[in-house]
Amino acid sequence: MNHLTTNEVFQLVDETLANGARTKILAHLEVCSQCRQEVEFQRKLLRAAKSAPLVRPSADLRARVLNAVTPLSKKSLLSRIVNNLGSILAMGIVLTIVWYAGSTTNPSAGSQQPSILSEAVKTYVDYYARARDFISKKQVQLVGEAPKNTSPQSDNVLYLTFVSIIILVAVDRFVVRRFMRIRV
Amino acid sequence: MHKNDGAIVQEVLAGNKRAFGDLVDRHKDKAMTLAMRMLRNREDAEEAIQDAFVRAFNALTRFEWKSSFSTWFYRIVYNVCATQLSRRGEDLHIAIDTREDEEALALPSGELPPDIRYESIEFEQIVLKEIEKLPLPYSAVCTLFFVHDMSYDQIVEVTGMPLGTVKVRLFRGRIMLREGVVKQLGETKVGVA
Repeated sequence: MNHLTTNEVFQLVDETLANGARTKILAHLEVCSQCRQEVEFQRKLLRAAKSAPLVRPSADLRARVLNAVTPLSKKSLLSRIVNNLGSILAMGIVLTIVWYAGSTTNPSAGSQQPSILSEAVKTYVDYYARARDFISKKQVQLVGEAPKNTSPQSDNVLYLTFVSIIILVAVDRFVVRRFMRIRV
Repeated sequence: MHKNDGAIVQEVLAGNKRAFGDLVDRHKDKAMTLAMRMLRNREDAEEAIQDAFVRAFNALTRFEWKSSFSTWFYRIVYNVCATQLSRRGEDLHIAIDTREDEEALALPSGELPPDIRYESIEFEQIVLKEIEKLPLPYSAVCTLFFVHDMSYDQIVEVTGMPLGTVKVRLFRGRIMLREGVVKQLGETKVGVA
């Protein structure tokens, strides 16, 4: 007697046989106990395999995934301050200079001799006052191009300001953000 | 009300990112099972499925609904695990002989023990243990077939293997499973009345 092939047993168990082939195989099972036993074994094996318990991940997987995909909504005010520290420092320095310039341009502010810095800032402020005049007279000047009758000090202040901004941006991007590891 | 995967995906795409958590809860166990069967290491499997979920979220806008969400997602899980395996130096896609004539013609050897108690816990435990012992080229395909209840075509879509390779790997994996279970039943005499 020819027994069923392994393929036929699997197809019968998986219920993927065409009607004709199925009928033929069922007829064979009527008279062959060995094949009947094998088919039953494979059915039970398949049922046990399909109902085997699943492996469960850790309970915090959902939270970890959502944190990974929605980081912005989780950031606190402190986190935002830390991540933008360089920009805040730059803004602070600029505001300090502007305040300092404003407080030292008052001619009645004490008899103290103006420092080099205050002189430089004063020249800086004068430069932009002249620039506004030029624009109002429909004369556009490019930033960095010194007006004809400004002092050499105003050029230095301009370059110093420009270089300072570049340095502060570089410090923010490549130092502060890279080495500040605070996660909030 | 129980939402289907499509409804949750639409909700996420509409801006409710936290709804993605429902998809995580729905698919995490099967994803973890697949990852464990492939990577055989719990830590690696946890990392892999977290990575897979994040990748799935980021790719949701590109999901075209040509297949079901689950098939698409488990493809991501499979690929993430396959990448980890290749980093370890293990190759999932080793070439195997796809001729199945020999196996197809012969009924499996190995006499079945008499009076097997199929409903016993021991029988189920033996089956689970032998599934977990299946070699790497066969474990993923068998897991997708047994656990995820996928058809050949779905397994092809998830693994990227040709249909012939999927059929042969599943075929051989089931034969190995049978032989391993029969051997255990004979050795331990458990599960046998």
